[in-house]
Amino acid sequence: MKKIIGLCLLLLGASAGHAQQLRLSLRGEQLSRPGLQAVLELPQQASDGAFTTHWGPRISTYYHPTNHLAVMPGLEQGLTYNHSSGFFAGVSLHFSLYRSFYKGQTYRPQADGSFKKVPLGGQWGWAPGIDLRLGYAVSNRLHLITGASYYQQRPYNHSFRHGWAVEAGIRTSLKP
Amino acid sequence: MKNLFLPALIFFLLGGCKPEAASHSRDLTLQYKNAHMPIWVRGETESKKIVLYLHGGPGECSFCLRPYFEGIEKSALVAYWDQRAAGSSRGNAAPESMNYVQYADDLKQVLLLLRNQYPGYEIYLFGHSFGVELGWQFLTTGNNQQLVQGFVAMNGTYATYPWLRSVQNWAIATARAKSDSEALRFFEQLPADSLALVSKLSWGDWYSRMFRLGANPVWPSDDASYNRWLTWWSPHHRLSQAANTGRYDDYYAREVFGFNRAMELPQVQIPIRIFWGTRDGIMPEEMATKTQKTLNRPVEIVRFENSWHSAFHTETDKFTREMLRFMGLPAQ
Repeated sequence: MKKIIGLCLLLLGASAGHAQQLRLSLRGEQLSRPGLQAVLELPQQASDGAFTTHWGPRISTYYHPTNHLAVMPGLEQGLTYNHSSGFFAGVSLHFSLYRSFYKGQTYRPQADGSFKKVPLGGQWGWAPGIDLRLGYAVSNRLHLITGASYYQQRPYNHSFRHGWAVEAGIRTSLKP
Repeated sequence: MKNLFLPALIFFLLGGCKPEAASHSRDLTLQYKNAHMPIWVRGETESKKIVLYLHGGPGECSFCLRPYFEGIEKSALVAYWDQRAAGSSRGNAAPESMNYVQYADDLKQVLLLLRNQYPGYEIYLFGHSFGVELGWQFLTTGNNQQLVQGFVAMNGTYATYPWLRSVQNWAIATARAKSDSEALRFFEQLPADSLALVSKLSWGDWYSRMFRLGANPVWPSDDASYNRWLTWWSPHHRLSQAANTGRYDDYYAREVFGFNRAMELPQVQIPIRIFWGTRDGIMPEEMATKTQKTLNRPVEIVRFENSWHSAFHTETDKFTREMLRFMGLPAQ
């Protein structure tokens, strides 16, 4: 698992130098649980048409008070339709690692009847999902965005858990 | 619109950060046999008494019902434990682990953890519905009863078949009183033989008619303010619960029919009290007296005359008083 995290961090670092757009947003997990999301959008091909595609690394987090904190680093593939009025709409498919950190202390019983404290107790998993976005280009460098996200936390008690969130934020160019 | 943005943003960022009223607040997670089970401990420590809430279902939740236990929290600690693959419970528990032996084993570990974290405290079990089945399974296994000070059983059974028969009796009487000929025919035609009943039983058909007859017409979720609390302020995870609820097919198809602790019940010697919502059709009152007789010793039954399945919801003040009385604590 450490290798996977290392690989994600490496991808994030390597791609930062080529990033064209940075998407930053406030995230509302189930509307009510606050979080943040950052996505580096790397254009896949030069296009003068209405449609553009991108891929890039992303990281989403949310905090469920007195329950857990979740971190989801991953990759996304996106398609955006840009209207001449400045409005745009986008969709992204993403696949992330899921790691939760339980609030409070986590314990595991031992064979001798004692309990061992589990450091950073939580759950590993995967989170495939889809995002839908709407936005408006205030200027060439600043775009306002809002959207909704759906993902699945897998595995979860031999099945999966539905997750959804709304987001609102900005997209900005990193290079002139 | 601009004027609304800043307050909305602040509200969003502070969402879920409401300070809690309880003087003692602790969050624990027990990792055991692929289940990651949350335990929220809330309340007052002075009495050195803990009520461990065994929630119903299986597959329901504990902390989601906290508003009805806050009266007890003023005098004692309440430990809210979500059972494996129930409520906000996480991990990767397999459906085949959702059996009575494993539930009781989990409960033992929860108790040992609470004793480890709260040495010298007296621990009382409060079981509701399926939580009563779990309680009886636990207390009639080995020397487990030595781990707790007492058990309050609310609207739950010690065996499956007597319960099914009591529901059948209640449903037939109620269908006659309400002139519901279709429900009357359904319950009258169920076979008398227990094994034949299992082969004929469809839970969907069973429960739909029970609820139509008024088995339990009130739920906490009928209340908008309760739903708001659950959405905005509770650490309970509603989507987890939704995911967990679908894990019980095997339990309802097989496991539940093997549950019978009637022979072992007289072994339980710790203080017991039976709480019963007398209007309940899910677990009719007939089961309260059957439980008393099966225990084969004097056990007080506290009747909640204005309640159905969940008297802690419909008669919260009386429930709080009776719980405190059972634990030897003064009424507030």
